[in-house]
Amino acid sequence: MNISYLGPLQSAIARARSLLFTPFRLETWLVLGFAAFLSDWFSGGWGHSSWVRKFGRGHFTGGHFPGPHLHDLLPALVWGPLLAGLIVLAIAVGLVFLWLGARGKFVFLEGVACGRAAIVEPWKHTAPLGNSLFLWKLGFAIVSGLVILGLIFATIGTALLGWLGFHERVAMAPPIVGGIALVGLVGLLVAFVGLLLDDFVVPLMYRHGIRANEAWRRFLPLLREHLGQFVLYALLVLVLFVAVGAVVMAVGFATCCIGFLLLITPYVGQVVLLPLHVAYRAFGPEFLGQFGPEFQVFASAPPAQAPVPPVTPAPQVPPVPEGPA
Amino acid sequence: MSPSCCHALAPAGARRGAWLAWLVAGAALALAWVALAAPHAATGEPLCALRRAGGLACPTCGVTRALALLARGAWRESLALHPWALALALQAVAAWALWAAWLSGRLRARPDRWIPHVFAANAAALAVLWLVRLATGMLPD
Repeated sequence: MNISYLGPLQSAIARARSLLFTPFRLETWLVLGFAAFLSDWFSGGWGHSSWVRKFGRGHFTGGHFPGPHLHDLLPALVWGPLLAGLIVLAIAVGLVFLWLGARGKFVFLEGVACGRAAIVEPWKHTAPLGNSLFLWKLGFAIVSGLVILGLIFATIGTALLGWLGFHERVAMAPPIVGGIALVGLVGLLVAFVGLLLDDFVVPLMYRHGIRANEAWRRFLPLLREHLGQFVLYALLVLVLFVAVGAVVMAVGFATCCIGFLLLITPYVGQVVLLPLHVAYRAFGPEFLGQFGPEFQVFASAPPAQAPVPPVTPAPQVPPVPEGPA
Repeated sequence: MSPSCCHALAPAGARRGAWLAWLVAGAALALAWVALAAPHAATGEPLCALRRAGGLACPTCGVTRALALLARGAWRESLALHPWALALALQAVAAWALWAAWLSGRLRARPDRWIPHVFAANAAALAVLWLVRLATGMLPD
């Protein structure tokens, strides 16, 4: 099977051009830009992560740690519940963002697939798909977070043992370096799974109207068979991100940094960069479509609906003859 | 491109909403103009990273200050600082007027179809102007 990389990219760019420029309609940009904002910004984009980091620095790590004296326990009584409340609030906000991002993925994908600038209708009829994606992402985030945290703690623990003199410091170096490398490797793997999820599994969910687990079941045999090609796709995406990032930086510097202000403004940034968002959203499905008709998201009519249970015909009940009561 | 399941692009929004958006845009423009006309508006050190790092003004360096001068009526100084600021201000007013003409039905063609062309023309003009000013030593300090 001849798999092309530039062909799908060209098709994705052509799709973006056709959708956004022939003809140019401002409301298409504003509505699809909102869909892109829902899809990307809430899925852990720069704004979300930087906000969380800032929040964490300002409120969680800078506080006064209570001492053992009674008069020191009073601030602890105040700060403890406040800290717990803030953590719960941060988790709740994170969950809402994750859910919005998962729902937004299908709204934006439908806009790109159908050339339709709409929010409310796709939001409603792709709800089961978005909710399924949310649950999958939540589970994946918890598992991968625990694995990465476990590795980090193990590495720090090993370093502490060496620092406290329990072991030879020189002997501690290989496990520490190995731990750091392992964290990096797991991080790369998580990023790769995230890319596969967004670029291929989400379109498959949309194409067949199936839940996330079922979409992975259909995608994994393909991944096993063509792993090298999907890794090359991921590398191409990385190269494209670097190239586009360089161009965006150049434009930002050429506009007295006002361009940067526009780009970092939620929603406005997505509208300004909409051609890139649409082309990238289309690239994954275009690439996937080369592997067979069952993987073609754009060519055929996508159901974009949750699985509907088969309708069973009502049992034939013989008519009851009417008679006098 | 469109599969049979897909609908056409959404039609233009409700006329009332469009007029409201037009009013809000006009109010935002007026507010920006009033803010620029304030005595101490746009008088600080420019934030241009290119200028700070390389000592070279970027193609849009001075536009805000030139617009502020324009808002205060000092159009000669404005033109000297950045000649394209006046063109940008005129374009904003023209776009707002065209939008009203289209909403009222006096203009048949949708004015937003020109946005990509206007954007490209402005980018080209700014680039050419920057090169000319760079060659003639007229870039602002």
